[in-house]
Amino acid sequence: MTSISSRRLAKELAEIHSEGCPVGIELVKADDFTCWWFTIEVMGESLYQGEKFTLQFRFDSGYPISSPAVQFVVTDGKQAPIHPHVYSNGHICASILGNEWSPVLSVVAVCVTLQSMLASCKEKQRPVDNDRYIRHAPDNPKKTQFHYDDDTV
Amino acid sequence: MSVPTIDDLRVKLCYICREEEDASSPSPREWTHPCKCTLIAHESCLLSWIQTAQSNSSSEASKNALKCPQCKTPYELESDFDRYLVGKVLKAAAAALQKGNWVLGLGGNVLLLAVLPTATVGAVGICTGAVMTRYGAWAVKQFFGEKLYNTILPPDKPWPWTAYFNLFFIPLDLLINEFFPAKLKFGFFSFVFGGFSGLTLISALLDWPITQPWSSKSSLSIGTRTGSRPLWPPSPFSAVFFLIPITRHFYLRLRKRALKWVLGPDPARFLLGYYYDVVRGEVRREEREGNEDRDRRRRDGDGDRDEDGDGGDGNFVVRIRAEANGDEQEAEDEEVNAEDPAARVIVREGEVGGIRWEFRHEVRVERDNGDDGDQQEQEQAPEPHDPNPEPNAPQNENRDENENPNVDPNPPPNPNPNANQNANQNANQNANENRDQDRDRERDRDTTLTVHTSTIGRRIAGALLVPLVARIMGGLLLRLANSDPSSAKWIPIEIRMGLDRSIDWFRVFLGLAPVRRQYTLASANVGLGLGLGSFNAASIRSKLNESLSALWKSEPSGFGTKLGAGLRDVLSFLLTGGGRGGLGNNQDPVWWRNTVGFGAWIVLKDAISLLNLYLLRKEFEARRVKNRPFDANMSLDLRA
Repeated sequence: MTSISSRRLAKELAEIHSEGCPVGIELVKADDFTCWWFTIEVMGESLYQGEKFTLQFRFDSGYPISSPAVQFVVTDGKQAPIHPHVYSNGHICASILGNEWSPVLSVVAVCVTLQSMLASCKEKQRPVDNDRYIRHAPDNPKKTQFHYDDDTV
Repeated sequence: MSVPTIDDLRVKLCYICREEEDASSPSPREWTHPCKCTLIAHESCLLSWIQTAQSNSSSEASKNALKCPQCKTPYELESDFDRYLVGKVLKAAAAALQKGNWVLGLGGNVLLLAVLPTATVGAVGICTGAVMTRYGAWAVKQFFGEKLYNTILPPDKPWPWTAYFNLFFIPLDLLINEFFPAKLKFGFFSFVFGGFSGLTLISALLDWPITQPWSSKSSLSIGTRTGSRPLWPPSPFSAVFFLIPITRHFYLRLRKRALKWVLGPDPARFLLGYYYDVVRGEVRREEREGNEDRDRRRRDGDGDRDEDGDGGDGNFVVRIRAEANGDEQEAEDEEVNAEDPAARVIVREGEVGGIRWEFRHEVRVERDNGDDGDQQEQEQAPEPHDPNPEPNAPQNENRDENENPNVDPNPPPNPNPNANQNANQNANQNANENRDQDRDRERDRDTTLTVHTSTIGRRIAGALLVPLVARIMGGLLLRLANSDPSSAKWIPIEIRMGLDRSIDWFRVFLGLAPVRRQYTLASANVGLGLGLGSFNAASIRSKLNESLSALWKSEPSGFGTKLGAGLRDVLSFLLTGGGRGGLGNNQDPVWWRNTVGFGAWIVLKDAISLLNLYLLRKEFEARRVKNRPFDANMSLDLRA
C-alpha cells in the first residue's frame, strides 16, 4: 500500500522528470520518498552569481499536510549561502516552511521561492543571532520556531 | 445556463493529495469546492489539513489553514448536529450547569481574594479561627443532621476543647482534600468522595463521644454493643475506610473510561479544533451559541487556573504520544516524566463544554524513535527574527495563546496519528512544572491533555459547599424513599408493585425502616397472586443483620478470648455500630444518606459534563466544509 505522501511525491517526481525543473534548479538525487537533494543557483544579476547551493528536503509520512524539512546542505565542503535568513548550519528562516506552509505548495514551488529569496538579497550577511542559534539548534529545522517578521529581505 | 458546481467538472484534482478523478470513473470520495477560485479538494483531505493545523500549530498557522491558500477566501464549516433537538435540550442543561459552575467560581474567587488574605493577617487570625470553627459546626450540622448535631454538640452545654479543635480543622480539611494531589496525601485524606475526609468523619464521631461527658440517654456503651446492632447502614468508620474507597476506586476507573470514550479517538484534535472554531470564533458558522456565552468561556479560560491534579474532583489526563504504548503504562510514564528535568512544556488551554482543558506539548529528550519528522520542537522567539533556542521564560507563565503564541508553527506531519491516549484522573501536574531548565538537541514530542472539571475558584467554593450539597442531595434521597407510588393509580399495578419493592430496597440501603404500606401485601395477593406478598423488606433486613451478627459473634468466640474483651470491644465498636456514635439503634442515619447523596451528586455532575462533551464532539465530527458553486464566468473544463 502506498501512502498519500509517497503517491504525491511520486507525482511530483514524475512531473520534474517530464517537465524539468525551472531554470537554475536541478534535481541531484531522489532515491526514495524521504530525502531529496536539489542544487539551486541564482540566475542573472545577484550577490550570489556563480554560486551553487545544495538544498535538502526531508519528508515525513504526513506530507503534504505537514511541511517538508528544508535546509541547505553544509557537509562535504558544501556551504550555505550567506543570507540574513540562512544560518550557517543550513537552516532557513522562511515562513512558507512553517506557518505559511500549505499543501498547495510543492517541492519545486519551495525551490523557486528560496531561489527568489536569494535573488532579492541586498546584503550578504548572516542572521544577527547566528552564533547563538547554531549552538543550540536542533538537527531538524522544523523543530525551531522562527519568528517571521521581514518579508522584504 | 446554471452555475457550474463541482459535479460538473470533467477532471477533478485535489490540491492537497494531488489525486485526480475523471468524471467517467467517479470514486466514492467526497469533493468540495470551498472557496472562490479553482482549487478543489477531497473533503477529507481538507478537513484533515484544517484540523491538523488547528490541533498542533500556532494560531497563525491555523488561521492560514482556514482560508484558501490561493484566493484567501475563508473556509466555512458547518455542522448538521445542531439541528437535533436532543442536542439542544442537553446543551441547555449543560449551560445551566455551566452557569452554576460560574457562580460557584465567582464565590470561590471572592473567597480567595477577600477571605484568605485576611486569614494571613495575624490581627484577624482569631476572628478567622472563629469563622472556621463556626463553619465546621455548620458542616457537621448539615452532614449529620440536626438531631445528631445537637447530641454531639449540645447547644446548652460547653463543648469539649477537642470539639473546637476538630471543628476548626474541618474547612481546612475539606480544602486540603480538594487541592492536594492524591499522591501527596496521607492515606485517608483522599478516601472519601471528593471532600469529606476520613479525618473529619473519624474526629466527628469517634473522638467526641469519648471525650464528651455524655448524658445518660446517649451513653457510650461499648460493652453491650456486640451483636445487638444492625450492620447496615455501615458505620462511618467502615464507610470511610472500606466502602467509600472501594466505590471511589471503581467509580474513578469507570469515569476515566467514559471520558476516554467521550473524547473519541483524537481528543487533541477535537478540543483544539473546537476551541478554535467556537470559542475564538475564527470560523464563521451558521448556527452558533450567543456571543455572551462565548465571551464568558473565554474569560473563564483566561482566568484562574489550577495547577495540581486531584483524584477527587477529577482532572483527567489524556496522554498522547507517538510511541505505541499500552494503556497500562501510564504510571510508569509518569515516573519517567517526573524524573526528567530536561523536558520543556508548552501549554495551551481553553474551555469546551464546561470543562477546562490544558494542552501541553512536552518536549523531551529523544528516545529510540526513528521517525524524525514526527517530532517537533517548540521554541520561543521573543526577539524579531530570532529562532531563540533558549527560552528563558517559564513556559507555564505563558498562557495567553491569543497574544503570544508559544507553540510550534508546523502542522504535525501525520493527519491521522496513531496516538495513544491514556486517561488518568490523577494528573500530578506539579511534577510537570518547571521542566524547562535543561535542553537537549533531539527531542521527542509528548503531548498531554489535561481536562479539568473546574477552576480554582469553583473548587474552593465547591469544597466548602460539600456539606450543604450532601444535605440537599440526602434530602432528595429521603423524599424519594418516602415517595409512595401505590397512590398513583394511573400506573399499572405490576409496575407499582415493582416500584414499591425497589423503594423498599432503597430504604434498606439508606438505613431507613422499610416497613410501610400494608397495601403492598394486599395488592400483591390481589394483583398477581404470585406470592410476592410474602416479600417483606423488614424481615430481609433483620435476617441480614442476624446472619451478619452471627458471623461476627462467632469470630470472637474463636480467638476473641485470647485477644481479650477490651480489644474485642474496640474492634466491634469500630466495625459495627461504633461509628454510630453510641447513639442508639434508632438514630436516623442522616450522615449515611448524605454520603450517598453526595456520591449521587458527583455522578450526576460528571454524567452531565460527559454527556455535554460527547454531544460537542458529535457536532464537531459532523462538521463539513461548505461547498460553493463556481463563478459562472470562470473558465472551467466542464464535462459535456
